[in-house]
Amino acid sequence: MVTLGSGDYVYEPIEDWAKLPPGWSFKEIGGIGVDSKDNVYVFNRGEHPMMVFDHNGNFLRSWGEGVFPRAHGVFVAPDETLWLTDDADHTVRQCTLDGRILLTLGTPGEPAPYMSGNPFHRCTHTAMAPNGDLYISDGYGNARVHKYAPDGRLIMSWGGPGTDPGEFNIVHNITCDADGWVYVADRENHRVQIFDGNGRYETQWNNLHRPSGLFMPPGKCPICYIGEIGPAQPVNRNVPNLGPRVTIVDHTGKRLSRLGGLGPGLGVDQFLSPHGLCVDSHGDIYVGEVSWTNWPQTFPNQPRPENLRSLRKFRKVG
Amino acid sequence: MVTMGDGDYLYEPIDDWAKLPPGWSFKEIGGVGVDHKDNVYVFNRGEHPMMVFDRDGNFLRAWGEGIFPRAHGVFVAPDETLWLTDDADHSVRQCTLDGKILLTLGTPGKPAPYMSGEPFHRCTHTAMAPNGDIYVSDGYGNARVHKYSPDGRLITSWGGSGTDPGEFNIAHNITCDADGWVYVADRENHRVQVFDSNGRYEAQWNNLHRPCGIFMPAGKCPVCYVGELGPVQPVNRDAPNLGPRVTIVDNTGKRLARLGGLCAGLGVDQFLAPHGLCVDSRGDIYVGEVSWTQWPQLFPKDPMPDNLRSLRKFRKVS
Repeated sequence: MVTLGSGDYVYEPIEDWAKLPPGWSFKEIGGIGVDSKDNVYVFNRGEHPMMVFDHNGNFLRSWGEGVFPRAHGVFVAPDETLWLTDDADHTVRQCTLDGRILLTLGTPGEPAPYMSGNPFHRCTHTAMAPNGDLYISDGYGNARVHKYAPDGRLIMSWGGPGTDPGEFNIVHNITCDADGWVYVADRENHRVQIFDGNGRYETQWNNLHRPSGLFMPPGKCPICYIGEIGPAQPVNRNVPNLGPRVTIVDHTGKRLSRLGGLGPGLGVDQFLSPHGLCVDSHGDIYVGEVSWTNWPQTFPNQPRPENLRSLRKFRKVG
Repeated sequence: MVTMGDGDYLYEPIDDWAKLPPGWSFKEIGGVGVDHKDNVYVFNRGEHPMMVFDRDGNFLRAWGEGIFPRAHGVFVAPDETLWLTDDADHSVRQCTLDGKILLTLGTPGKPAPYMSGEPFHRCTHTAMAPNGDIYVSDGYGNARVHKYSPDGRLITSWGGSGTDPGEFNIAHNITCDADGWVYVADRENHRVQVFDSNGRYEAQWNNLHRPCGIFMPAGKCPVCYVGELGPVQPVNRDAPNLGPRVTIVDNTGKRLARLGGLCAGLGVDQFLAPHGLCVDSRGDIYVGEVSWTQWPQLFPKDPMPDNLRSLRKFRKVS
């Protein structure tokens, strides 16, 4: 059996876990989440933006057709509603598990001016504070975190473009822990920044490569699962040991385990572009990859394989 | 008068300082150095790889034709010899100020295998320890620092590709201070790493963007001048406040001043690609830019202007 990871975090890759209806495709996957029953919500860029599977990969349902032009982020709230971020639609939508829209933040299809700091310009992800406030990372065309009340009222925003503490260079993902600390994947600054609930900078985690997806399980002082995308510049895309990979760190950012990472590829122990991830009650990891976007950047001289994989499952074995 | 910088580090940009012979061009510039008379050595990628000017920009001489296919780094040693790194030639050459070659490290034109760790594969720069040992950063096709005795004997090497402390993602420049600490511009990891003279990791400076060129004046606890490349990825090349720029930090990495950086351009207070830099006895800064390489990455839709500038001088005014 091939295993990945180390120490208390060892995993067996499960290939072809999702049983898609015949002819269906995720294309690539922006984000992924699990509910309390370990059903898996695959927010994808195919014709059926949300596909739902049970723990064994059996297809349950799909929804979101015509609503989500470019799936980006999934956050499953404690009340089992889904917060879905679409970066092409410039919106965040709160949905029930079967796809009924409860709340929409932002104006569908209408971005705020580039780098204006106003919500949203290609927003990326959401997280929830212990008191129910919502944080939104924004994103590609802003360099901002916005904080909303549970009823959708904007409370405050922080951040701007740059490399100093409190500045962002593609604010790509966000998560929050039980103590209210806010963790932001500051992707192209190669770091995760940590803030208090009012946006006061606390610290940063370095020694990462393009951290793209974050996931923290509930509870005090949780570990953090980080999807890191690999090098895509001509100058370093062949350099080994830069990812793509999934890194598991403790609550202070110290590495506990790493999956993949020597180089991109289609092997069972390799990734292409781990963009969003989540962990179920068994500790199994689901990783959504933006493989179709990444392929020509990683392998510019090779045609993209048909049905390029974009969903990975790793069963926890240690 | 336009000034740039902050606090004790204020500068006036001097346009068109270098008086080139008619019809000559630097094209772009890998590195620059000054000798103790404040003569300036411009190691460039035009037809005359080394052009020398006095402090007022008067042309003194040229040399290196046919020797240097791709100028990369200049280090002026205390004994007034030049250590010149050519990344296409995979060699480091020690030269007199008028171009006589004293020593050659590496096999001209022959790279070591990619990421083998053996010297050299597209080496980038050199620095000298207080005892005269030479450090070579290497580079694009290795992720290594090599340490040589003054007579050219390899003493030790350290580093490999990656993002952990002691690992490199384009080891692009190197400098050394009077206490023997070694500073490495770990460009695509967006940091400067600090080592002792045997390669033991000591610290890293973060909050930088693609640090590319580093220069430290002589003396105890010197400041460090850092040339930072700006963003060139389609996803962030329009984002402001990421460089290109020159940042001046103290010996602990704390920022003292910054020149440029809101965005790339041709304004007197803007850079394109500050690749190598040096400071003369008056505190004036010379910056060599790889403008010709960078232009199509920064401005893919704009044709490159004729005689695109690549040498900048900033006169210290405070």
